[in-house]
Amino acid sequence: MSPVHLGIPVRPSTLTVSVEALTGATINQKLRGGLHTFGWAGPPSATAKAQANGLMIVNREDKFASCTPMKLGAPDGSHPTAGWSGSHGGTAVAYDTRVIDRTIVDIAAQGPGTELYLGLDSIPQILGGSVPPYSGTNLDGTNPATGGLTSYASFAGQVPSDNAIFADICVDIIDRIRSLDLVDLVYCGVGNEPDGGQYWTGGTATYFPHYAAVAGAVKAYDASLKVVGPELVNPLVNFTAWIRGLMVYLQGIDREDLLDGLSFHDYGDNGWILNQVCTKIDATKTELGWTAPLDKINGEWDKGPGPLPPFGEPDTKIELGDIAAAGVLQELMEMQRLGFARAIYFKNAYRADEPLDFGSGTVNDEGFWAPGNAFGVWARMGNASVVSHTLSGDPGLAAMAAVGDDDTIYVPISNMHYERNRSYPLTVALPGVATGRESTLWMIDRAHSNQYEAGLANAELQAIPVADVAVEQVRLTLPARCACLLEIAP
Amino acid sequence: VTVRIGAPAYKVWDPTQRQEREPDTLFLQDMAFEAAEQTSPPWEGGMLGTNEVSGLTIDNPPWRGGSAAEIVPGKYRNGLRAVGSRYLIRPATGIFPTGQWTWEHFLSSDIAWASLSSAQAVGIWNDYSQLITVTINAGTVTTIYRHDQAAIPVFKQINIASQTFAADAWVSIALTLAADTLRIYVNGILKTTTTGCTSPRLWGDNWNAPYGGLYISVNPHLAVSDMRVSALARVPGERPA
Repeated sequence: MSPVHLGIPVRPSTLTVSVEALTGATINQKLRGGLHTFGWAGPPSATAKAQANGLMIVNREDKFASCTPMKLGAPDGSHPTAGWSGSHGGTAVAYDTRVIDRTIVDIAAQGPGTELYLGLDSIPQILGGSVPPYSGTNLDGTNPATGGLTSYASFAGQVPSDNAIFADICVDIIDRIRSLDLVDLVYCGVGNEPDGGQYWTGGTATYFPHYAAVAGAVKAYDASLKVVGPELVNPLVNFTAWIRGLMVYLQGIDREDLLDGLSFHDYGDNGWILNQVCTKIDATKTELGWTAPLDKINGEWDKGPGPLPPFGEPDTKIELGDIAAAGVLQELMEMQRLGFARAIYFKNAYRADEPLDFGSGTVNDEGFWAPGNAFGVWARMGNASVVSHTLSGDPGLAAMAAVGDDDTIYVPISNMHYERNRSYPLTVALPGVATGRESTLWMIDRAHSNQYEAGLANAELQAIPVADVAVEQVRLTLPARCACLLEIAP
Repeated sequence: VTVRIGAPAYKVWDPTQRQEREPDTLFLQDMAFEAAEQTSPPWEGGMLGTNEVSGLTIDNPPWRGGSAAEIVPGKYRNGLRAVGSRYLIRPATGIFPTGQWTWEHFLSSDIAWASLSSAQAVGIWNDYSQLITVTINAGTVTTIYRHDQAAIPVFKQINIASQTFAADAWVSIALTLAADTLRIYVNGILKTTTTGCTSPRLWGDNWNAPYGGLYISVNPHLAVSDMRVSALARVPGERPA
């Protein structure tokens, strides 16, 4: 049995919230993004998808170009749809658009207003890509392993034989998606992890002109679309070569306008990687005299598995539980603070029969995993206005504050402490807030809102008792490894 | 169940003396009191085994009865010594603050310090771009303080030469940070003062690298005991405010 640390004094932490001091920012709900239509190894079950609907409101999807049957030239029986570009001075390419259409319908089914973050990547076979387009049951959508969706296709990381044709194909795909009028399309990302070697075989020398060709074609099609890159997998090591390098390249061809944002992937972080990269972005903008705004995009992120050991140990899938939820909420707060425009969480929904080591997602057939409930905490805040707040004390705590239009006060809190056998006092100081306002504490910890550790009955976001506002404060005692939301009614 | 009741107040700081849990204590290496660190699985707060050669965390962790590190007698409490290329880590998130802190421990080598070669004793390792490490090499104590969460990246390498302690001697090494100034004490004596050590916004872990976190005894020659991390910067002879 673990030791009990009764009576050990802990230096108290205080979050001071100035509810009248609006910062001008609102909670960015577009940080609730997911990858690949809520699945990875295969489509999630209908039950899991139904659970997930509305949880993630941005969906990053890609591989449309390599999955879609296409041919250069005019339409024929197998490629009945002419692309937009061929009629507008570009390359004439004809398509069978069923894969595009089906995938977009699938994404749109996640709920009204779902936004597509479109990955323009994976090179079609007609331009040298190694992966043939969908055919047979993948094309008609009857293959249960893929659902006929692009999500579950292999990736073709070759350098296209012709950047201009690939760029026209990208525009044709965008035009087709828009014609369906089912999803919002704001961001287009060029490539996927080109610095990792697996998804782009050409290095920076081929990626930079490739980016410029694709972004140029998209902007020529619709200048209001935002094009971002380079979608790095290792932004710390490869920042200078890839991010700074892309900025220098675009300045060199006098096309800063082709870069609306910088996208990178953020694995294994508790915010320090985000802070490093954002610091470097700011410094590089200053160094290069880059004046145009650059949105920040977290193109993929997750929580887990390490440093907690996951490998081959069925009893160590700790990433499913409370520490993962704490990490998700902490990083959402950090991205909000740093002004990220979009964020795409990886490993989304899984069937109940998926191996647990894929389970650091948001939902399964039984309902929300603990990380899913952390996104639920974020969703509860709606578009509340962020207010000035100061957190003093324990380095394992993260918190912020926002006020809704109806004057509800929201205080999300994350406790990243690893040891379970201690508790952490936090005083939420609320100067000017009337005594007696009703408080609710939505809690994700080992025993609540956590089906992995607390059982299936604990899948939904749960509230635990908490004192109402007294003498302009609410006093909390937090367990280790928790994510919670203090909600104070108007 | 071990129960301790009482509220020890802040003590006047002498880094050579036995340290106790005080109100700002974020971590205290106490293998008796913190037995859970050694015997519990990671999801209960236990430490993790790692292996610098294989890079795997799940390498004979103590909670499975393995030997990633051995418990050895320490200066005041039992300590840890790495075994071969294996050692223990634990997540650093939540136990390492920014702005100001005190990080102290006792260190003993089973060979003379002059004979140690690039022997890392302790460290906070997030990535090669973000770390604090203490290493002994031929009698020189080298501390690296590095992060890139500043417009001008911070990279300080601080060498304290001529620390030629004998084998099996227990040596107090304490680092304090306050007002962007890093002070290093050896056996309670201030050895270096380094300015320009701005803090990152966050110290953390590397959840994808199985070797990120707080390192306690990385080298098999070195035993580490009584490590304490405190939220306040201490000054010898003074009581923390």
